[in-house]
Amino acid sequence: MSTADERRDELVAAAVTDDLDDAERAELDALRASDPRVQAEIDELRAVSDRLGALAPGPGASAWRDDEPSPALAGAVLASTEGSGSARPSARPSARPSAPRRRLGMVAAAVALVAVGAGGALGVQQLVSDDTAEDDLAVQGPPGTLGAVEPVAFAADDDPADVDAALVAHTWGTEAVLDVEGLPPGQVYDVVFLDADGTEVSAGAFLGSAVEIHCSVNAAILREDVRVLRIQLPDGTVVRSAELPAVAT
Amino acid sequence: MALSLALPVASPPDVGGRRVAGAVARLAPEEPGRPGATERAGSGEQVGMGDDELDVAAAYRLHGRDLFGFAVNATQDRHLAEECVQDTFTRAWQARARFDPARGSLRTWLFAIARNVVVDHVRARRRRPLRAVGDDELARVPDETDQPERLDAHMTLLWALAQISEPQRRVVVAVRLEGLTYEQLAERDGVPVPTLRTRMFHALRALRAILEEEEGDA
Repeated sequence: MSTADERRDELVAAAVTDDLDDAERAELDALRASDPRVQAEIDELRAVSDRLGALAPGPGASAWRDDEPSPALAGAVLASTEGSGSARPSARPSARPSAPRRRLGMVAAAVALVAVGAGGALGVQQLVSDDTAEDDLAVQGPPGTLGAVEPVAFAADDDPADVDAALVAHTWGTEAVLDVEGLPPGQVYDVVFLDADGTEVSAGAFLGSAVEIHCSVNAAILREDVRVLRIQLPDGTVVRSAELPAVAT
Repeated sequence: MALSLALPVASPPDVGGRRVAGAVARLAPEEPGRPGATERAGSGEQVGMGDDELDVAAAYRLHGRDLFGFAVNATQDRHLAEECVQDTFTRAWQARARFDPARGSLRTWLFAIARNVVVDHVRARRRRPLRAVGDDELARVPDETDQPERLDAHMTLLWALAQISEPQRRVVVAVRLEGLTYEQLAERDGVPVPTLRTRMFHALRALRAILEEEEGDA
């Protein structure tokens, strides 16, 4: 687009929103005289602008919420679209679920904590258990297999807290499923993946709790690119770390 | 105006004398926007579609955030909005055989589904005595028991606003809805006034195209 076109667009917008100064008004008048479509466009866009006025909030209020969806929503969407790709094993319904069931599925995959007894949310032990008869857990394979649950072995640690983890490879990234017990309530823990260069990719965070917790976090990094799973304090102090096996290519 | 939208979507709108795909028309030339917003209807290159199959992961990655933006502004309830997005993809998955890329972009199709889903949820919530959002927030969602056309118009505008690019929407929201001057917005966002005005121009044109297309389908 030429500079003249951009200037024309700018003046039209300013006219629609009543922002012209005297010099610009004269400039726009000249444009109108040479091109009758200018006024037609102003009228059309002003009609749109007038309609938008119905969304104007009260004084001082915001007219648009820029909320971000929770990281868990992606997993919930995949889980609710059976056969569309790699679904979170614990949240795949066999038919369109009821609203409460769907909400539970989202909670199960959420970064937010799910206390023991909430029901329905599968923890790491259940996900990796050979005794589980759930059809959902049928996907198996070596590290990097889409939808398969990959147990994680943390390095030995003197910390008495009990932390179990498993990974699930997805087309959209990597999910870490955590069972945690014994970490101080209220303390923030960051979950990060490290790639081959040691670059950290955040997967989310959770709070320590007085009860055993199950949570799931996601990161936009493919399993084949992940080398290390780390749980750490916000200051970088490592709480748990696991070297992960390479994905066969 | 009908609340239900015909699926799959109608032909792309005519914008500025050019016959273009709806989503493409909603981008300012200087703003390439997110990848999903550049889908071209009828090109056979639908992002989020592969081998005639809906790739939900890719579709969510490209459009999920904007669909959520529409839903959360329409419902004023984060949890309900996430449920709406999940329902949107569920319905899309179930109806994937009916999606015709020759008639419109995947993005436009998903937004059409989302609008029906959100309206359904808002109506359902109105029927429940217990409401999970504050009175102030609820008051911002028109009650169709009094004026059904208000809810329809409100949803339509939010739906259209959610589909344009974020930089364009920021200008419309700040200047047209919240009453900032271009100069104030330029100072706040560090973007020159001419750029903001140009974004407003393209935003209004994109909104016009979206609204005309929707009203043509209704």
